[in-house]
Amino acid sequence: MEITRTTTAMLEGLHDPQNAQLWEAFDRRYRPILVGFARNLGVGEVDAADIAQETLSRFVQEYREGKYDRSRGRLGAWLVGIARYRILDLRRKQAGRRQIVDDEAVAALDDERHLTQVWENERKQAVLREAMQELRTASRTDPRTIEIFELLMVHGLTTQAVAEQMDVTDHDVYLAKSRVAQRLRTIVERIEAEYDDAT
Amino acid sequence: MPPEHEIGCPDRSVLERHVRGEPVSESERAHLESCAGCSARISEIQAENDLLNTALFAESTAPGIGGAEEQVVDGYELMGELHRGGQGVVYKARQIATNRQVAIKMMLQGRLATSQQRMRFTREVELVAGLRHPGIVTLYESGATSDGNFYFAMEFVEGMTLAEWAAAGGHSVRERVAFFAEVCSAIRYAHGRGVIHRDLKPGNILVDQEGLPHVLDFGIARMSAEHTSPDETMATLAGEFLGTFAYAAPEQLEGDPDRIDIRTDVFALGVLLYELLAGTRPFDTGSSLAELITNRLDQVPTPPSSFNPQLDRDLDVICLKALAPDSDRRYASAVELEEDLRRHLAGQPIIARADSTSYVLGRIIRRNKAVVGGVCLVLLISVFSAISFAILFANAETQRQAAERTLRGFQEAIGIINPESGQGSHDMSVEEYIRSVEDHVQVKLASEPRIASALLTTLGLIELAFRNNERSEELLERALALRADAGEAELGESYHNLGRVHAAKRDFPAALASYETGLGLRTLAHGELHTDVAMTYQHLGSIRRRMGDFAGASRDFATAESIWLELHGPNSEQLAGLINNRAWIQIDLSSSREALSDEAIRQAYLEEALEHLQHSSNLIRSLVAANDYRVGLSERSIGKVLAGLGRQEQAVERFDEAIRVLASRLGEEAESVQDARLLRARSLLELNRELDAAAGDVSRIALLCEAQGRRYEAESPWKRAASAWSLLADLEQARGEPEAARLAEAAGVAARAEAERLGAAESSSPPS
Repeated sequence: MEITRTTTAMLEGLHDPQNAQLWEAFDRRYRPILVGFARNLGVGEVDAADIAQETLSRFVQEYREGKYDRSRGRLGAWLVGIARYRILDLRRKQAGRRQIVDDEAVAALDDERHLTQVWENERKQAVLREAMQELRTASRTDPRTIEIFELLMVHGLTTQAVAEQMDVTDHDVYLAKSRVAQRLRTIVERIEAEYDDAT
Repeated sequence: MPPEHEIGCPDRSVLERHVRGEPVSESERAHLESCAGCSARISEIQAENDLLNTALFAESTAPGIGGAEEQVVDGYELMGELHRGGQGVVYKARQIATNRQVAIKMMLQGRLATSQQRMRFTREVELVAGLRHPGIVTLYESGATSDGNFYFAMEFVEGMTLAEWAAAGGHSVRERVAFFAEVCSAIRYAHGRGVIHRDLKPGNILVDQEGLPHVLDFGIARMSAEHTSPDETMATLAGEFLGTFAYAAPEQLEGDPDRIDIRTDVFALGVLLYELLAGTRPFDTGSSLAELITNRLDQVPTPPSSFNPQLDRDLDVICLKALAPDSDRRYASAVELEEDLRRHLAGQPIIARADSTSYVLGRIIRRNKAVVGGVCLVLLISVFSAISFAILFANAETQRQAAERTLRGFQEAIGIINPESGQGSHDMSVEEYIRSVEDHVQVKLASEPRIASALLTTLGLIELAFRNNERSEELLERALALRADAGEAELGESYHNLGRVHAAKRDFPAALASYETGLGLRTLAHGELHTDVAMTYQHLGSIRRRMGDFAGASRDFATAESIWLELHGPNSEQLAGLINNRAWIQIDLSSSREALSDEAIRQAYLEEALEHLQHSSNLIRSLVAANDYRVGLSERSIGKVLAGLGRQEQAVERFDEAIRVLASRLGEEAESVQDARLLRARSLLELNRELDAAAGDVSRIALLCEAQGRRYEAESPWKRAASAWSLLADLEQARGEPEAARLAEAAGVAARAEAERLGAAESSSPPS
């Protein structure tokens, strides 16, 4: 099981080039958010991966050079700022190649509030994904409970069908779903606390 | 909390069914619609479902890092995870068709892999799949899973990693050396086929049950560790390369892909051998990247025998030779290393010899020079010292005067370092160079204020040439402070220079005051008829012009002109400069309110300006080489005025000439060249001619300016970028490309914002 790391702890540790594990954790946390962010702004799949890569590189560089000052903004805002430029760059290159680009997405790059929203949305998705993974693999939740929940919510079976298949009552089905929701909420809250970059 | 379940309210199943849209009875529905308690419970259930649905949705749209458990690789049955590292996960698996056990390595980033990583992966696998050697883990095949993850299948080796093998102990020095010779043999084989490993480390060497090595991940490191751009270098640092810093050669740390060759692997082999023999690593890794690189470059490792007394001198020499920071001093190949190890095992003399002292010293000196870049610091300091000491110890007044003249000459020589004139560049480490000279001045010349102030002045002027205005002002102020007891001539010089700094900072009133003081002092010192006095008049005139006092400016220029004529006759560069200044007064006047309301007046001013400019251009051409940057600048000015007069065709010709001269002297990146190109494009737009080429030119300049802006973190390139983008927008409009015009507009907005951000940062940051 992975050691819990707050963003603050990560940032402090990033100065140590030896700490490969920490870099991996940082990369694992922010790369998918960046990819999702770029995808949301109309960037294609492969380009989005490139944007994420370039943004992380740039961040590392700026961070190592001491340019990132936490008192001046959240980490998220900093990454958004870098990613925005990378996307803009990509747009220009595409414009140069006369590729068709999405006008609205270009306009959106100037709208800071919109960018923040997109980022926040992606970040939340990442938190939820992480929580789901933990719920399935590392939590104390009874596998049967998870199975009931999956049949009901993922496979879309009716309550009655689930109850029959698992040999439980309707009430048990709802209880299982409720437990999963409870557990998920707890995990989400814990992970959210790890993203402590609001200070 | 929702209210308690009241009597008469349906139970939870009904509520859940209702929320899910499953059928409920009529009476139940009627109840649910009217009961406040039930409505609250419904909201809670909805919130719960929303959370679960959002989480499930998020999970289903994950951008690529698939959970290890869910991986499916066609043709293989995954049997569990063997290892998880920076680059990927390794699974044990069974190849269904052949029923053999294999190891499958999957890239951790999966679908998040960048396009370059994907390309390299495929290329590398092809290369490595050709390697067949008992000491190298055979690669069977590679492919991509249905959800886009890359993997390759390789020979499964039952055993442990080198790290584990070494830690287990129980191997004599001889056994270790013999084992290591086998590792070298495997590497030698790969090198012979043109494959460099690049990421040799204990985790990449497996030891089987017979105690034989199997090298893993051959060449795979290339896709993560090969740097094609600085950006990528850092990313690699971030993601993958870090874990192996301990084994990286200096040329790898310096991120120079051209210098990576088989000797890079030799260095890593040296670290591995050292570690295997001494039980510790040869280098301190330090706490920061900079420290790590410095250590790797400058530290000579302690001989391994000091950690393990069983090692003899030959093994020390072998290790240190493999670890030479300069790849030319290392074993040229794994073969040579292997052969020396085998010679040692056979009791024969080894080939390697220890480095000589003179070589070590030479290396240190070379490194120092490299740090200073274009300016050879060591030389400069010694010249300064020589001159200062000559002055300090010269007894006879004549000797002293001679030394002072030398110093003055030297000051002038380095005072002309100016990126815009093609001498020196932004890239040179001026900062470091100046700081060093400054320290030298402070320490050595504390008792010689006259010399110290002369040197500080020179440094201040260099800073000014590089537009480090705050630093320049600080140095010049210090020079002035040292001149408290000096004569009028020196004080006058100080005030004149301060005027230049104020002008550069656009603080015109302060500049005016400094120049006026300087003029008074210089006149007192030299009388009216002197070069320095004329110079200050000329600068004073420029300031008055910029402050809008055209009459005052004309007067000052006239005075300066009469002095120049008296001193140098009718053909001098200075005179040409003055005539230029007069032209600029006319150009300024052409945009005055009076001129803007009457086209005839505007034209008249511009015609007069054109006349002056042509006069000065002829003068300059008669004095300097045909491709001197001043010729280019004057062509550009003439073009500008012609454009203002609406003679666009002629203007374009002048701009072409300006670009030709300036670019040949200063390079495409020079500000003046970019400026001339933008002016030319604007004229072409007016002419509605060659729009495609103009648009290409302008967008290239915009990108170039942005690159410069990023590189120097400076406001002015961003400003230029912004105006280039908006010119591009106009050009695209004219070409009938509204979409491209909008894009350019957006880019302009972004560039302007960046300029403002940096401008605000520059003005708010305290002078350093």
